[in-house]
Amino acid sequence: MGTDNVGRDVLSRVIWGARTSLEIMAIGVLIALAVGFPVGLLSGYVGGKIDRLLVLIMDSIYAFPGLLLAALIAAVIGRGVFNIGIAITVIYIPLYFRVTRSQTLSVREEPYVEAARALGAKSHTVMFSYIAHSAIIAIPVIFSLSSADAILTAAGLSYLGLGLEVDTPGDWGRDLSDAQSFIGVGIWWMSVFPGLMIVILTVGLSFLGEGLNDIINPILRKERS
Amino acid sequence: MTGSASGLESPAEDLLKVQDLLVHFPVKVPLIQRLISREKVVVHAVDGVSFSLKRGEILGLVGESGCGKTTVGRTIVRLLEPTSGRIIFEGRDISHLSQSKLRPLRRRMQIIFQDPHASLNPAMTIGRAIGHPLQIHGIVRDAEEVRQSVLDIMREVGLTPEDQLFDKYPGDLSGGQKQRAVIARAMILEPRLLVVDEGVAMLDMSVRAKVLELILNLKRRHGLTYLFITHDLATAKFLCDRIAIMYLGRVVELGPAASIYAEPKHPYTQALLQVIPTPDPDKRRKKILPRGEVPDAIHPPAGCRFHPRCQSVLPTCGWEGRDFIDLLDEHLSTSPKGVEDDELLGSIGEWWAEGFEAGRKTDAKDPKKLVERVKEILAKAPPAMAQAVQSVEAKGEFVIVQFRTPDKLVHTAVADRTVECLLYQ
Amino acid sequence: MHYKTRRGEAHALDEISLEIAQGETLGVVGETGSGKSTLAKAVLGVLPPNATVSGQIIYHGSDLTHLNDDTLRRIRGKEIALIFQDPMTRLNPLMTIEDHFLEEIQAHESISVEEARSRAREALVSMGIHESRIRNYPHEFSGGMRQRIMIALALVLKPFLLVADEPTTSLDVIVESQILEILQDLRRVYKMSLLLITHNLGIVAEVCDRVAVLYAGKLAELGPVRDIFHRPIHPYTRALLSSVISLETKELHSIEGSPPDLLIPPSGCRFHPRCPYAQSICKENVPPLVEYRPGHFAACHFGDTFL
Repeated sequence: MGTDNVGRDVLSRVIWGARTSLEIMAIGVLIALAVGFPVGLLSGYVGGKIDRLLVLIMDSIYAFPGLLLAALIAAVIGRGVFNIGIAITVIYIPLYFRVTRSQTLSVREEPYVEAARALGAKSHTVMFSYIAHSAIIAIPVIFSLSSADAILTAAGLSYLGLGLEVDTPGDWGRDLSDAQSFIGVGIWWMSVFPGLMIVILTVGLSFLGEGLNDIINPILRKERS
Repeated sequence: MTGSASGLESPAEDLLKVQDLLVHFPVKVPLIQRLISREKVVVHAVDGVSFSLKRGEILGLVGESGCGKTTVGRTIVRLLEPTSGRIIFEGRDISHLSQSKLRPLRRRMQIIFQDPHASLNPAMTIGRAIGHPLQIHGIVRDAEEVRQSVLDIMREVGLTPEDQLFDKYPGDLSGGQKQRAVIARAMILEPRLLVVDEGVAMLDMSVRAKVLELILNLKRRHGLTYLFITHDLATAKFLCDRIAIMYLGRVVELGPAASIYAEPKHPYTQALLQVIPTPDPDKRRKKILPRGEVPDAIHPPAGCRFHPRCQSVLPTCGWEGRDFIDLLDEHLSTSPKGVEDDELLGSIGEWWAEGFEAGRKTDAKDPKKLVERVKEILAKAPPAMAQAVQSVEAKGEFVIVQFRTPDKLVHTAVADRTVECLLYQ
Repeated sequence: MHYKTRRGEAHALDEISLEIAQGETLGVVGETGSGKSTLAKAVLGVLPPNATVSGQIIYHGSDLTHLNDDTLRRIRGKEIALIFQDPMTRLNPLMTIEDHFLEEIQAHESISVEEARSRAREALVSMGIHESRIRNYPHEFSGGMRQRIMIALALVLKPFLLVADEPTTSLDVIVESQILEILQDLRRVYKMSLLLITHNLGIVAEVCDRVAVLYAGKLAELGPVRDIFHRPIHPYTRALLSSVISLETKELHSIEGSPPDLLIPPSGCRFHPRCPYAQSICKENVPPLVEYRPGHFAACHFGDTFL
């Protein structure tokens, strides 16, 4: 794939970038899931003022354009793989929260949940043994989709120069922004390959999400009937 | 109230006592409406219900949908909290106990819901679901012991072959099997009271008998007490020792099942019994059906709630402004339209009703004509309603129909039961 | 009119032959998995796309299974009408009742809007609903009234045949009786035929002239209502009748086991695994439908012994 302006091998940067991107994505999305899911479950189950407050907070975050928010957070907490991961987490928590909460709300009224309460189950038992399995249904799909989105966001951050530390190997976004100035001169390989990788990973994850959906939905339908 | 009619019984015999239970649900009303009308808008789901349940008996709570029987059932097991009134279980007032204090009590009172297909967690195997109460209450720690207890109870309720069914999911079971699983789950805690909310209504007829048999067997073997909630009078007659008939949030008749079925006293009970289809083509008979349908529980009729539909209604039963509006509405819809009527009576929207009054603003030069016309219409009304009218007068710009205040309804002891009806007061 | 149908794969219905005369009420009784709902849909041609129908549905001389969609649509609604258990599946929450009537009437007859409106008002009043409510929306009515509206809609075009699939199952007893009374009156006044599908034997006894008992997709017994109730032949019918809980019930009876899986139905007589009288022939041979008394048919190898 040639070398870039400073002489670094584009191919190895691209490959390294895969690892970095996945790292960021993993941290970001996994933590978002780990926080968003239980909070959504709790909020949906408990209702009342706590629910309203949480919804307000989450909706506010959700309303913010993702990249902008991430940029703000990154600007505040500084650079680094871990920090970007955090920034991304914050953006995606509301998504997991909402999806989980809406599932919880619909399952909450089912007779078997009421039966569990009548049996004397404590709230956490009801939430985790009776509601969670249903709430979790949508998660794999959301997971892949938000991962795809996270890659883009991370790349976007880096492109803007807010992402990883300077010279972190394999920073696709950075590479893209660095490569911008060279396109005019005809050096296309610096930009096309990193860009292509971003696209491939994003699209791949989206397909994964759809595929998962196709697998899970029939299971859902069978369960319901 | 009810104690006196069911004979002498020491309070220690009452497993459950419900006193003046009221359960009201708020209705979502737009803010403006809430500010304007001072009246709190609620659904009067349960509006003053009292009864007691003796140890070892099966009390049927019978009524049509919307009468509040399901709400009573759920409130007794404290899935809901009473708006007012008391629930006394095993001598203890549980009306407003916190959920954590209620938890140990839940071992002794359980509820079976109507829909067996929705009462089991689809993500749990039958074995795990039935054994879950033991884990919830920390009764048995050892996994093997739990399994044994579950297998035992499965055998007892007829969920066999139990080792095979243990690992199945609810989706693999038939309706009857599911209901048995639900019963097993409730029974594994060894409760004293079982509230069964329409337990067999959603099962096929050939399967119902088996489940009812199970209910009776469990009662005999474990000395259970049941509150059996249903709309099916035939099943209630077979199963229950005493029954309480509910209508729009109140108990209208309560007493021994055998005598109520033999000689129903309350007109609503009479109507219900008459209306049950008998599976015998030779026994077809003309039925006298109460008019209309059950009114909504947000604004129940005044006095006796059944009065607008009752075949034996009296002038003192609770006639009110709204009844006149209904009468007028019917008249306007069915009679041929006369020009005079158009002018005098106008459209139904021009009339209002509040409490025991109904009227309209009239700009006619001679309000006396309207008064006369109203009197004519009333003459064709059911006599009880006509006699309940105190006056029809023109007061300034208005013509007002005024009803007498009704007599107060009390639960009266009649023969071996109590009835809430002016016919017996 | 008469029909024979058979449906493939999960044999929801297997060689059912039935006839309804004009003005007659035929009750089709069955429990879960008997195929009775499928029958209703088959008659109206509203089966799901993966259903295959073989056989004939002969209505007024023509076979409905061979008609094209347009003709079928014309017949459906105008000459054959259907009412379901849940009126809300038929009523559009966004349309007023009047709109429903207008749509129905104008789809089948070209008359003026004014005339259609007055027919609608008439139909509503005949159901005991004030015509002032004609502009209300479905959700503003109670369940019983919605069912009445559905009946009014079904009848406004004066069909020859009304197919009612569990019309009163979700209603209270008093409302149920009101509806049944309406259906009976209509029969008398319009000489309308009624195919009543239900699991409730009580209403069958009240309202029907003849009864067909379905079990696992096959016809177990067919005959006049009095014969079926007082002199049933097929063991399933007898067991079903004895399991009904009425005010006179002194003892409980049920049927062992559960209805079979229609994907792998039992061999021979489908009821044999649960029948207390089953012999080896019942497992091997499908019992033919035999006329044991005039108009009274049963599909049992030992029908004679039960007469």
